[in-house]
Amino acid sequence: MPDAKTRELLSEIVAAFTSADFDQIPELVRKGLGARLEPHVLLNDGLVAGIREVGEQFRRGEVYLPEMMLAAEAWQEGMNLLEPLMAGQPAQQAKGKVVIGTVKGDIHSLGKNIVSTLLKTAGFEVYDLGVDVPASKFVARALETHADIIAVCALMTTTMPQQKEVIEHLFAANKREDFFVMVGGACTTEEWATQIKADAYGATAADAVSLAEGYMKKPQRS
Amino acid sequence: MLTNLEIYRRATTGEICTEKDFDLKRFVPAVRSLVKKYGIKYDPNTPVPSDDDLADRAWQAGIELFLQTGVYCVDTERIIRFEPIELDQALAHAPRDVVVGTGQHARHIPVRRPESKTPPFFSLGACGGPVSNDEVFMSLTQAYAELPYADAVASPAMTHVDGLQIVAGSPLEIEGCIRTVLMTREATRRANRFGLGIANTVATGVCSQGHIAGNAVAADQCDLMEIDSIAEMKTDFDGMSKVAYMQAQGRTILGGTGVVLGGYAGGPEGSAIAICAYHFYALLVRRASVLHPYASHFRFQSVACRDTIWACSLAIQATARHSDVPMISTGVYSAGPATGMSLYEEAAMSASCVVSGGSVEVGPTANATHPDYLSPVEPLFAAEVGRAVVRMSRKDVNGLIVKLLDKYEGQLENPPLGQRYQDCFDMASRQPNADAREHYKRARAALRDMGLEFKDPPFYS
Repeated sequence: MPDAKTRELLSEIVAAFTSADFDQIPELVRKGLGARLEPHVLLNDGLVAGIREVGEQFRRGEVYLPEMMLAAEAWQEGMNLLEPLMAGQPAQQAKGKVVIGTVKGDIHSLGKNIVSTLLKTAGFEVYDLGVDVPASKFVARALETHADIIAVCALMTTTMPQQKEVIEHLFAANKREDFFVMVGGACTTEEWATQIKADAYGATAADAVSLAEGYMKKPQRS
Repeated sequence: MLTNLEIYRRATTGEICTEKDFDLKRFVPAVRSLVKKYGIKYDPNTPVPSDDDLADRAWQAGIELFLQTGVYCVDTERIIRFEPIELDQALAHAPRDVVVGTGQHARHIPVRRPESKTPPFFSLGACGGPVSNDEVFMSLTQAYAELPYADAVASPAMTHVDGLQIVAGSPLEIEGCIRTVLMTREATRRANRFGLGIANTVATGVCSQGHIAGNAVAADQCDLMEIDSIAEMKTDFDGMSKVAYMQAQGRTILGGTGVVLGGYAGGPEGSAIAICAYHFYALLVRRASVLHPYASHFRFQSVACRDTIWACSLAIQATARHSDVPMISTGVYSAGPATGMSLYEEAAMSASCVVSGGSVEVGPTANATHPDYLSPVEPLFAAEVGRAVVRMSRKDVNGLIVKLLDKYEGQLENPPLGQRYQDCFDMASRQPNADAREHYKRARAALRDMGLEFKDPPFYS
């Protein structure tokens, strides 16, 4: 059970996240280290707890993408301070690995960035390939990183077919069963996901996180 | 006014910056500080504000935002910057008196002000909503062109060519773009309105080659060529290439000035000032003669949410008080056709835009997600409501919109999908079925009960 001073500092870190006072976060982590707090306590009960709260605020519509992305940046800055001190200690286990991107021919990044950030804040290790990503690159990166999940975004009716391409590339490489493939984006639907043999369709960013979490909890994953 | 080549020169010589730094270290902090500096505050009880001082502050904040951030070119990873005098010149030298269509169907797009008595311009149609095949495309577009208040038609986007799914950047996109324009023109002829302008000329196009092909083969000088922005405050060579071609052909460009509420601009306050900043983006980077403001909701997509209506209304008021460039707002709606909700969403948005100083392009229903979930009833109704609110005050329209929001706001999370065009209309006669007719009748009655006086008799009796 942490003492009162420790609890106060950890609360300050969480509060810095929830009040969007992100510049304060690295300083508070330094303060905690100066007070000889264990790095894993600062990580789990400070940074992770804080960023999860921001994720919840986003799900409730209380904050928007900028707060999410700035929170992720602040979390990373805090991690940069803690990681060198955690050598030999068991690092926090990521919930799973996700490769995400917007398909070839589509340059829309905003929705993909929301999903990517929300997945990170939920505890996933995310490999964001950006926009205009060829099908083969999704497959190559997923194999390289030993990903669990591939999340494929498309915004336009004329770029949706590229989601199907990703799945066909997986079949062609005989790797379809190795990954859970989620699709999403403005023009996509549940029916489309079924038609192209995707594993799941997320209508919203929050759906994507729930689907990813649900899949990782399954005892018999692909 | 700056030339295209000068914009290109700046895109290739401007300050180098990563996209992430532009988003998080330039754009986001600038928006947040300007919202505070200018005291921009969202009031959910007033989706249509009547505060001229607030509108003027939003305009000033938009100017500062544009000057502070510039425009990011994703291809060169550089920032295109502008001087204050260049913004003044853009406003002073912007094209005036834009006419769409030819002959007896030529229509002037008016410059309007908040509470203007000038009738608005209506671009009616699917505005890029997807359709599954040529038969639906032709019947639906003809039905749009037959609407009596259509000053221009906004065509659907094709998803297939001869049964093959269109893929952006492929030869099918070229064919789809050409067919879109040819078929829209043919639909206007069948509606006995040959010469009616097309507001979103190459609705099927994504890449510049598709847009250029559609224009080169099939479009006319009387059409509007829509070129959108990249969220937020970004451009690329593909978009700049569209501009280069359209300028060389003397086309009239409709410049997208919309934002995603909840995206990099943040909430309604940031979205409003970003739309004001986009005014200059459209004039200087897109060479637009007509502007296309909207705020699309990051969760629901609809432009008819309470906060998106507020952001768009404030931005239109701000812009209309300071610029002589005509605006036609646009956007998607969450509910599908033949539902009461879609009619109330479109009524709210149309009323808000008209009283704020804009004209209206009625966008697609069912979030533009489901092919064929489109119908002519929604744009018709939006135009009838838009015509009815001319001469009303912002305060009175605000009261109307609050009542409308009460009817549909709770359904935005799970909007009804409604019926496909081929299910709620007879495709040969282009007449609604009993269900669609009943929703239209009920919606007119509901708005009359809210105190709205329609100027026109019902089109579908």
